[in-house]
Order: sequence, then structure tokens, then C-alpha cells
Amino acid sequence: MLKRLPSSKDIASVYAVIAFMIQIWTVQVLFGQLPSWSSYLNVHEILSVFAYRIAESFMECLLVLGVLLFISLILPPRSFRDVFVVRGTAFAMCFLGSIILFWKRFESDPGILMADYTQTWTVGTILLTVLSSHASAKIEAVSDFLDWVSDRITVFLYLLIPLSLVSFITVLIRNIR
Amino acid sequence: MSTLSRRDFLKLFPGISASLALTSLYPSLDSALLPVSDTPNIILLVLDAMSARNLSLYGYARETTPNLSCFAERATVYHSHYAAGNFTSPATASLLTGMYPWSHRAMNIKGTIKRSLLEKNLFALVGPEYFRTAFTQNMLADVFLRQSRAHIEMHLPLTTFHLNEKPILVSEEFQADPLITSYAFDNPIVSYSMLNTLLLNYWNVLNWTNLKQYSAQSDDYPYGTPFNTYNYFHNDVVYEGVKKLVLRLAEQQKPFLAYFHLYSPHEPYVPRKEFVDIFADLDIPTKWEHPLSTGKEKFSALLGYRKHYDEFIANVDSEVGFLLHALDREGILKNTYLFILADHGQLFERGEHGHLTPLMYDPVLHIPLIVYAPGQKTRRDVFSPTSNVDILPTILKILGKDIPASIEGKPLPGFGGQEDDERSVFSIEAKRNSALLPLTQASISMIKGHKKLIYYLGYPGYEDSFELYDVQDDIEELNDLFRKDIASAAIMKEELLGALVSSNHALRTS
Repeated sequence: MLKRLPSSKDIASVYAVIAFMIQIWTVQVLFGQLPSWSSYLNVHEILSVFAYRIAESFMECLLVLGVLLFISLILPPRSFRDVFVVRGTAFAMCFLGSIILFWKRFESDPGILMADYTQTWTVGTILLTVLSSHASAKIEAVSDFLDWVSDRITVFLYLLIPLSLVSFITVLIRNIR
Repeated sequence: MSTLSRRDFLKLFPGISASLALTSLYPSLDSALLPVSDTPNIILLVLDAMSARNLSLYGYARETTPNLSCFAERATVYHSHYAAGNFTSPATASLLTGMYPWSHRAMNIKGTIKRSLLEKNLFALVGPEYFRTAFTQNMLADVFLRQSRAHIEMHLPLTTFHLNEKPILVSEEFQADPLITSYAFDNPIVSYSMLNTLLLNYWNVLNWTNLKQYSAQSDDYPYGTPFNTYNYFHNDVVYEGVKKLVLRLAEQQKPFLAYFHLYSPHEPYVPRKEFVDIFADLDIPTKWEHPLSTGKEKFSALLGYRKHYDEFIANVDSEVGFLLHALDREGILKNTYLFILADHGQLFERGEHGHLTPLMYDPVLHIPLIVYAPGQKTRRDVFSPTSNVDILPTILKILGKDIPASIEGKPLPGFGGQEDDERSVFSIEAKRNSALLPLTQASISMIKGHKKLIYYLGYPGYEDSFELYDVQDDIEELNDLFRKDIASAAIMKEELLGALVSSNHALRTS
């Protein structure tokens, strides 16, 4: 069964894309909130808020990676494991990109939450993700591009993984009674 | 006797069906079983954004509060009671600490009380001999309850009485770290102004399948369903829940302190159908648009908002009446001090609607205060100026506890304090000022006798401006006396600026 899992290098490449999208988004949102917090929270409290959010985003990254690994386990190796980097990167970029785009729209128009917009957006996101993941491995230029992207982004793991671990440990320490 | 835990209580509230569940529980509570303790219970009922200026109890032309007026016939009514700030954060923090915003520093939206004061707030000072319960529907006030959680035996989540599918409150899973996790996770979907988590928030939003049904107008709620920043609720369910909780608290061995900070009549003004269109139009004077008005609302629009606000107050008054009647019937009031008040008021004038404003006119600061003492049979009226900073020292006085020297309030007249017409009462608005730095941009109001001085500090284009009104003879604050009553203006200006300098100095040296 474990043979159906991709190599650790491939997993790292895809995780890098996932972490880059989720955690960089999280950090940019945090920096947007910083001016407000700096008016009434002290540095220790602000860093603690950062730790919780980074730790939570770390969990989200693992969740998305877990979904991809699960798909890899249940699909024939040729259709997913062997092209894990390309399909995983396409999956992460389309799925997470769509959710990021949703929140960007929300920022400019909070009323979208009141409309039956979210379900439609979710269906669209799933369709887009499935189709793009499927098509990505079939178009050589796209495959090459996704390979290149994931390879380049891997360097961010040197920042994001230590940041995530420190945050996670901080959260644990704060909750030990 | 059982000990009521927060979880026990919450188990009773899986949603709207909670009220039905509790209704079936209600008959089992027999007033004859309620213990009468030597130590009185304390209930604070804070009604968000309820201006005294719109209550018939205080002479308003529309009959908005028949139930409060009736209850006031056996309580002490404070006629010149003022909020210490003009929106929830500073105003509520003053109520809980007995200090003005320039001392407790909760002056920003979602601001926090200065950490060194957390052992000197209401819950800490009342002490563990009381079973301390707190519930608010206002996310800004909930910050303080989270800060004080070490001194609160039962702190109910914001979403306790909500109708719709509740968003996942991550902070509720981190009981050891309630404040930081609230900032980290629980703003998002709620304040509509900021995002927190990418996927968790999206999951929350996906679960809002029944949100739309409440956002629409209905037969029972022609203007829509009551809504706070954490979703929809019905006031009858909320007040029923509060009543049930108090009855459960009365079964405890310990006396209790219960702090309820309920959202209505805060905007949106959405009364039940029985209260819609119950009032005729009023003859209200037009007022000049203030240069610092942030809303720039038309006068006709303000009249419309005010009418709906009055209708909503009448709705809230009805619910409060129901609650008071129930507490009386069950014998709770025999051994309970009850404070009914607001955190701040609401403004419908000079182009401004609401309370997130730099303006400091009476409708946003003048708030109701009715205090009932066990066994009180007759009404007492107090006309000298009082403030929400007086609530904590009054409670401490009632309980025979020491009042820390750092508290800026005084016991209320009738509860250990004396009427003092020459006392100065302050209200401070400084949401744009860092809580960590001296005040450089703020609006400060000082009431002394029947004069009121307003100081606008550091607003570009309106720097260091003063206004002076006689709030007794000129209740609408139309006639600025600052350049006419020069003697009063000079004395009050000196005192106000002195207090400001002292507070800034205290911050620098703390």
C-alpha cells in the first residue's frame, strides 16, 4: 500500500506549494491586522496570536497534503503517484487559489456570504481543481511549468517548516496547564 | 445543592430548541425552594446602546419603556447617569474596572483592559465566595470576560442563544488561553472586516446554510431578525435563557454575581411585529452637521433610524419586563441587588448615526441606571451626576468589601455614596489613539453640575476645540456657551486639561 505513496522528495515539493499558498496568505493577513493589534496588544501577545495562526495554517497544510496522499493511495500509481508533483501542484494551486480568490471577493463585498454564492463557488472550485489536475499532466508545457514552480518554491520550506514547528510548540506550551 | 457548571448549562442550549427544553424544566423550579442567603446576589443587566434620551422613564415623548417605568416605582432611578465612553470597549471596561478609559486603556475597538488591572476588576474583587457568571452577546465586551476568565466560574460563549448554525469558535477549544485564541481565530466571519484562517473560515461559511432565511424579513420580524456580529437571535429566547440561568444560579449554595450584557437595542433595529409602527412622528429640532461627523447622514434618514430604534427599545422593554416579573414571582428579588443600565447610548443627530463617532453629545453618553435593592418598595430619584465607573465601588460597598484606591468611581448615592452636584464626571473617546501611548487624539466630555464641557483633542481641522453646554436648560445641546459663559468655561477647561495631563503622566510613569 505504501508503495503507492510518492517519494519524500515529491511530497516535499507539493507540500512546499501548499504551505507557500496557505501560510504566505496567512502571514499577509496577519500583517494586515498588525497595526490594529499594536494599539492594544503587547509584543508577547501579538507573537502568541501569530503562533496560533501559523500553527493552524500548518494543520491546514497537512490536511490538504493528506487529501492528496489519500488520492495517491486509492488511484492507480500511473494516474497520480507517478505524476504527483504536477497533479498535486495543479490541485493545490487551483483549489487554494480559488479559496483565496473567494476571500479577496469577500473583502470587497461581504454580502457574498449572504447569497447562495458559496455553494456555487465550492462546486466550481472542485470542478476546476479536478479538471486542471487531470489536464496538467497531459500538456507538456504545463507539466514543465508546474515542475519548475514546485521546485523553486521548495526553498521556502527552510522558512515555513521551522516557523510552523516553533508555532506549534508555542501553542502546546501555552496550553499545558 | 448542586454546583452548576458551564458545560451543564450549555448542554441545555443546542440551539433554538433550547428554549423549549428549558420551558419543560421551568415548572420544576419551585420558588419555595430558593434559599435566602445572608449574602445578597448581584445581577447586572447591561442593555447595549440604550440611550436614556429615548426612554419614557426619563421623560421621552414616545412611550418606549412602560415596564421599566413600572419597575422604577420601587427602585432608585439615576437621572444624570453617564457612560465613561461612547462605544462598547471603553464604556464596558469602565463598568468592570471602576476606572475611566484613560486609566484602564481599553479605548480601541476590541481593545483590552490594562493587564495590571485584571486583579482589580468586578469579578476579581467580588471574589470566589460568589459564583460569578457572565454572558455577553457583544464581541467587544466578550474580550473583557475572556481577560477575566480566571475569576469567572461560568462564562457563556457569545453564541449561546443563537438561532442559526453556529460558526466554529476555535477559542472555545482553548480554555487555557481564551483571549489570544479569540484574537487569533474568532473575528473572521463575524466582524466582516478581517479574515483569519483560509480553509476553516471557508468551512464555517459553507455551514451557514440557514443564514439567508434569517436575514430576510418575516411576518414576526418585518425589518429582519435581530443580529449581532455573531449571527441571529430572538430576544424572547435570549431573555428566557437568562431567566432560566438566574433560576439555576439561585439553586446554588453560593450567592451569585451575574453579568448579562445583551445586544439589543443595538443596531440593527429589528423589533418584533407587535412593536412596528407603534409611534407617531416627533417634532425633533434640526441640528447643524458637526465637522467631525463621520456619517454625514441626512436629517430625514436620522428620523427614520430613531423611530425604528424607539420601536426596538419598546420591544426590549417588554422582554425586560417579562424577566423582571419572572424574577419577582420566583422570589429572586428578595435577596438580589439588580442593576439595569447601558454601556453607552446612541446618536441620531448632527449628521451622525450610531456611536462609533468622535462626538460626545448626550444621546450617546447619557444612559439609564435603575438599581433595585432587596425589599425596596418605593422609588427614589437621584439627579446629581453619576457614572458607570461608580458601579463597581457601589457593589463592593454593598458587599462590605474594601474599595481599592485606584478606582476612580464612587459608591452611588443611596448605596453608601452622597449626592454631589459639583462632582466631575468624565467620558472619553480615543479609539484612534494607541492604548499604549498618551492621549493625543481624543474627545473628552466633562459633566459638572448641569454644565458639560467637550474637548476635541488632536483632530485634524478641528484641533483643540471646546464646546460648553448647559444640559439642564438646553437639553438638545444647541447653544454653545464656551465663548459666552467664560467663567464656567475657564474653570472646567482647567480641570479637564489637568485631569488629562495627570492621566498621561500616570501612563508614562507606570
